[in-house]
Amino acid sequence: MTMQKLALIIFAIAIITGMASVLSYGAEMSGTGAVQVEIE
Amino acid sequence: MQRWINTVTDWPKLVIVLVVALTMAIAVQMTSMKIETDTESFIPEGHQATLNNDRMKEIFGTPDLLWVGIVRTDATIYHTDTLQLIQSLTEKIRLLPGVVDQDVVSIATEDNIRGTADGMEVEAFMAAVPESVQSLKTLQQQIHDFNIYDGFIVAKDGSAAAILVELEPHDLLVDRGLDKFKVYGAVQQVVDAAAEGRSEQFHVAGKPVLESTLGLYIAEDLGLMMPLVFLVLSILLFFTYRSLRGVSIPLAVVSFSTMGAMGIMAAVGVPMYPTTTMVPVTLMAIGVADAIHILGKYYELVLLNPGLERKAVVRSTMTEMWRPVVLTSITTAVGFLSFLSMGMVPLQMMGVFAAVGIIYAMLVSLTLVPAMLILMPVRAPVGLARRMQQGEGVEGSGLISASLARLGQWVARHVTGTLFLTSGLLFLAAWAAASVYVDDSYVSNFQKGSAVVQADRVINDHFIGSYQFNLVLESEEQDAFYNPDLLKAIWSFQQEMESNPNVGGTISIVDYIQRMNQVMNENRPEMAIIPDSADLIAQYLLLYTFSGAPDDFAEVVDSEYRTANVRLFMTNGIYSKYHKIEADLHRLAAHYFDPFGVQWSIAGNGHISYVQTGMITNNLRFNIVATVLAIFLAAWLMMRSFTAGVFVMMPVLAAVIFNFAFMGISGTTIGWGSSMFTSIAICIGVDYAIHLIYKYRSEFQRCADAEAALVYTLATTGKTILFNAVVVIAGFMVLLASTMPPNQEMGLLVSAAMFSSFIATITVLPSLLLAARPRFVFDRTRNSGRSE
Repeated sequence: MTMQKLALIIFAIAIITGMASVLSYGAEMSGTGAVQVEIE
Repeated sequence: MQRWINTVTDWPKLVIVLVVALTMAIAVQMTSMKIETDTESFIPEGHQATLNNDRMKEIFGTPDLLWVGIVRTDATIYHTDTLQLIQSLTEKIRLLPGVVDQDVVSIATEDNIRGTADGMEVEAFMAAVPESVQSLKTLQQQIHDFNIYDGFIVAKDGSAAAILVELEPHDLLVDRGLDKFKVYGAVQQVVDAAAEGRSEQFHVAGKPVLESTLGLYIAEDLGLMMPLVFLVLSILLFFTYRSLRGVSIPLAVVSFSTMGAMGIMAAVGVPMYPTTTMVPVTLMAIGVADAIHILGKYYELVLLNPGLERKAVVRSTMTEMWRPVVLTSITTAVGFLSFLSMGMVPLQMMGVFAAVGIIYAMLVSLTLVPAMLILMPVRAPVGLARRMQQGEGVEGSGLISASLARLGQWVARHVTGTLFLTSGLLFLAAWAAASVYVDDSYVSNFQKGSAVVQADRVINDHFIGSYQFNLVLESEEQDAFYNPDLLKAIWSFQQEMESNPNVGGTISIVDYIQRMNQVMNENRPEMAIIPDSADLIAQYLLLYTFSGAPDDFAEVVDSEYRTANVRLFMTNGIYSKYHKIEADLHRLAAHYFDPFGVQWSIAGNGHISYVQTGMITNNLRFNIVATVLAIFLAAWLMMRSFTAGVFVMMPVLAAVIFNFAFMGISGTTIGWGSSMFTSIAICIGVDYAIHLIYKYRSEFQRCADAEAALVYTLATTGKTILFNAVVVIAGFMVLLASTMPPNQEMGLLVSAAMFSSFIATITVLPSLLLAARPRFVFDRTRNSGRSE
């Protein structure tokens, strides 16, 4: 595997991790976030 | 499409007349635009929270109150002159049109319950203003003894008194040619007049005040923002092009699209919400992009083909540019339409009318822009032309182009390094972004030091609270609320709810019955309890009616004692502080009232605002995913390549991650303003990637040299993207001058996202393309025939 391919794979993982973190915002601050409250 | 371009360039004057006439006809509708700040209208019709609230209002008529606070810092309000002031102010407010006369509540209007030899007597706390020290002390003691009023109409420490004003229902106000803005204005005027020369402090707060003030801010903002963005754009365009066409063409596009979108919005009866104040700014900042890219291509062609006839230049420009213009407009519009998934009406309308405006801008760009260009003589900016004549080529023309060309060269030679560095930063950003959470409050729409925020604080610091939750209890049996066990359950419920520090106090029929029991038992404090007999309770209530007004309990129980209203007053309207209150309400209501077979529902402005912000919590995740998918699909279909769709998304996703990290580090929470930035940033930022990919593919097709193609792409399209980003950033930065903090927040976040998006587009995207060498760019056989 070339360094460029490795860089691409790591970049893909970084983007997925980043978006997972963005989407895991919480309803209230609690440690690192991610507390869900369901509303009627 | 070629036929369209030919027609437009053959009939330029007719096209201009038609576009102008159509836009003006639509823009006239803007005069009928209304402003909407009522949180109840922010929730879609038919939502359970709205139904609950409407039912509560129908039965108990408890609207949102306007609080007038009279504060003494030197002593208590139990002074003859202060009480006289409260009495006269109460009388004056009662007479104002739009105010429900009998529902103005203050120490001057309320009654005390007193035990007598014959039973009980209901008499005014202040039939006449007390003058002797003893009678003032007695009044203070009476208020203190009557649980409901202590902290409600007079602060518990006696330092402040409140006048609670009920406004007539909206429909009635409209019939009388009034609205809550006008009634609040009249109350404020009376208060200001009374305040003259007085040592007491006066504050007016409550939901009607917040809503009215926000309405004024919206009108102010619109008056300020639109001309300011227009001015900023004009300056930027002038310094870029230094020509009439360079300024007039993009400004015509943004003005027409803004007028078109706002006109259509008014025509279909959608009011101006706090969120939609951002539509004009958004359209001006985004709508200018199409014209800038068309002008960029036009100048490039003029420089490369001196002597080319004007119609030929315009036709070539449009032939090459219509596709990216349509593609970027559709992807952006589709992205904005994903706001429909946000649940909250103002956010949905922001998305819909931004999308309408973007499509309008696209149509204007494809008609008015070529028509205007045809009528102007062929000319390129003098500076660019001179450099071209000196043989520097387009990529060498100008410091910016030269710098971008050098950057292109550097990126092409450091592909792996760029990707590793970006990945490292993204991992760090992911960690920082994890602490972002949702929080909001109506008060956060105002500057921290503003009078309205201060009044809100003072009122909520001194009294039981201007925000309300209501627990409505409904039984199928008449006289159900004579049942002592049920009343005791209500009391336990109230006590438990009051243990929450954000609950300032609660009021229900139980408070009145306990008071009656106390006065009927020599006013002994320990007898302020619910008696064990339903008959005795019925007798108390009957006795009360002999001297009390029949509607004294109308806000807490219906006339058949079948439905009761437990009023919970909150000292703030902050979403994050309501989680426990909502959870407790559900848990305790089920615990105490389900065993009695009593139906319960939650209502009140606090619940409405909780549900509204909760919609952001519940829907933003889906909204971000929907925007990403919608734009990815649009890019995939229109560029006819799945991989192209993936590549187009990378710079904006990186920008969104960096922005969330910025929010996490700076402690910015997600509210209605900041909830919109992600989708807006994706919608706008994706255009940069689309333009870059189109140009790069076309250049690689031409020269078959990956590095040379990148250098040329960044020097030409890269420069246009830079200018586009500068315009969008400057346009959104104008929101920093807004009177509303959420608008400022959103302006800052979109600007920051645009900056990161631009940087990612000119560095990360080329690195990705060069590292992956996708076929949709590098397969020359497959791509022959496709160009920008």
